[in-house]
Amino acid sequence: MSSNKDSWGSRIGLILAMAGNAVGLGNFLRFPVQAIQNGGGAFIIPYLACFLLMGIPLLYVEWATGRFGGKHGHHSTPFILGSISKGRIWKYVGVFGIFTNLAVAAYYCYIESWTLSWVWHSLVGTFNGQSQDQVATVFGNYVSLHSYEPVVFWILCLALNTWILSKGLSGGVEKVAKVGMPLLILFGVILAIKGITLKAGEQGALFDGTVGLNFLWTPDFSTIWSPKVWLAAAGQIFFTLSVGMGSIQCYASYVRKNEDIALNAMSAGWMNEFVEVVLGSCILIPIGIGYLGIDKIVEMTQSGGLGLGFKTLPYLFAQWGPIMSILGGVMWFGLLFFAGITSSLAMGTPCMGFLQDEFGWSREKSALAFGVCILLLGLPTVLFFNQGVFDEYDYWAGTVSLVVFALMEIILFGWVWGIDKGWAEMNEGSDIKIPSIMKILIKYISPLLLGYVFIMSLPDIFKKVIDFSSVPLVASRIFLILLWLAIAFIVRKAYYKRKREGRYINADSKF
Amino acid sequence: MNSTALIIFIVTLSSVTFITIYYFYKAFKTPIPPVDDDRPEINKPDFT
Repeated sequence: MSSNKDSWGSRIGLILAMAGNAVGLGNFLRFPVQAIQNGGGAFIIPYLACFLLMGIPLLYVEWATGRFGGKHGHHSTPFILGSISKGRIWKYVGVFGIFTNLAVAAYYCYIESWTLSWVWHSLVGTFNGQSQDQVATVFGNYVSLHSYEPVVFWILCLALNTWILSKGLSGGVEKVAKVGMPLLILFGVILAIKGITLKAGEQGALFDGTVGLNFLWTPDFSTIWSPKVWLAAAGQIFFTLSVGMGSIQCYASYVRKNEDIALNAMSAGWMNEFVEVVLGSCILIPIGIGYLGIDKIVEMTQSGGLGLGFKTLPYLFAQWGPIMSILGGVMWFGLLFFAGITSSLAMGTPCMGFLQDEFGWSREKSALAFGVCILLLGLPTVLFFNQGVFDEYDYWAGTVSLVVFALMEIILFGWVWGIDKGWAEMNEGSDIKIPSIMKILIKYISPLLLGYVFIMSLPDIFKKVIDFSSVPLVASRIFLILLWLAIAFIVRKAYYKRKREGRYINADSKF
Repeated sequence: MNSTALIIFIVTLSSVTFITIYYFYKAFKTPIPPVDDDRPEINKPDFT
């Protein structure tokens, strides 16, 4: 029998936790870089189109399937999807909802620990008086494990996540979201104001902050119909909303059966967009370009936003004087930490929900199991960071799996279960009227868009599959496949256990 | 900033901010009381 009696304490807590799940490091480090690489201001058009045509429908689908599964006592995607259709295949599709969370958390917690460490270094003034190259060297030495410090902060971060998860939803996750999200927005607003109002010639800045904004928002309309730009926009929507992971379903499964999901989904989804579009565009690029110029930033963003965020910004903050450099560093890495931890906590709950539902484990035991799993799965990403294992995890678990799972779940919702049943579930207890066009979007447009994204990604996937250039990369690929198979095996065991105990219930069950 | 960039920037930021505040305010205005765990015994739903 399940030991899972967890629940949300308040509506605001649920919305903030769900928004915290979506708001992650990518909002601040990935979005501005994607915008720069894909047409600047013109990127926002495919980006918002993908949000409206694919992101919002997927949010509704995941909230609705989650709450539906919760009514049946399921809190993880294998059995949430299994509760929607009697087809056995859906349980195995649902395996992605545990696999992705475990594999992503494995490397995500490592980046989260960097933010914690960089808060500490900002506080003690490590970067004061250092040149840009010296700050970059500190980071290079850090990820190359030249000291025990990265491992200490990583373990600390894992322990913190495990402890908070062991306190449950209302006692742990919700409390962190209620403190972390307002602080994240406060820090973000202060840094955004500082970024926009940066003046050339003051505190060592070469250009006004508006030069960066101008660069970021000036549209290059020649790129707007490029499939590459649309693919990048769709990919960003996946990353930013945390759809296709299984964590939204898990959080929503703890919502009571007649409680609203439509307004909650919109509140959390749009809050994520606010953080990404408003705050995400006003910090990294305006400050970076203000101090280093457009050419340098374009060159640096070719390899993503991590380098700019961790290797360059601490040096730029140091130009603000002794007090402001500490405050700038603490606020920047503090907001990244809150963005990270609210997401990693969401990654822990599906795994815990599964263990509690299927094996009757206590919350504390399940949280500990999650922590140990992340420790073991994350070790290769920590030890072989420079060999690209981190990126390999990110590609397979944090990119491909999301698209596959989202495509399958929307087909299940719109076609297998049926849009009418799904629509009724979405509207049950709703505090807002969901526009009826959403039916068409969910049934036709979103699956087509997702299918397009998947098909267009196939050449790249194939290229990666046959890339045997490095042993650590091949080993990590095999490791991830084994992880998926192991979870599928446990799900199969749990399914037969449920059947034996007469607890296997789905939408087709009769009572 | 050039005028096109400025217009896109202001329109996008103000719309996203407005919609976010609108939904959040609406959700805040219609709170749901804290949960007393009134769910049926887990794994034994009461739909008939």
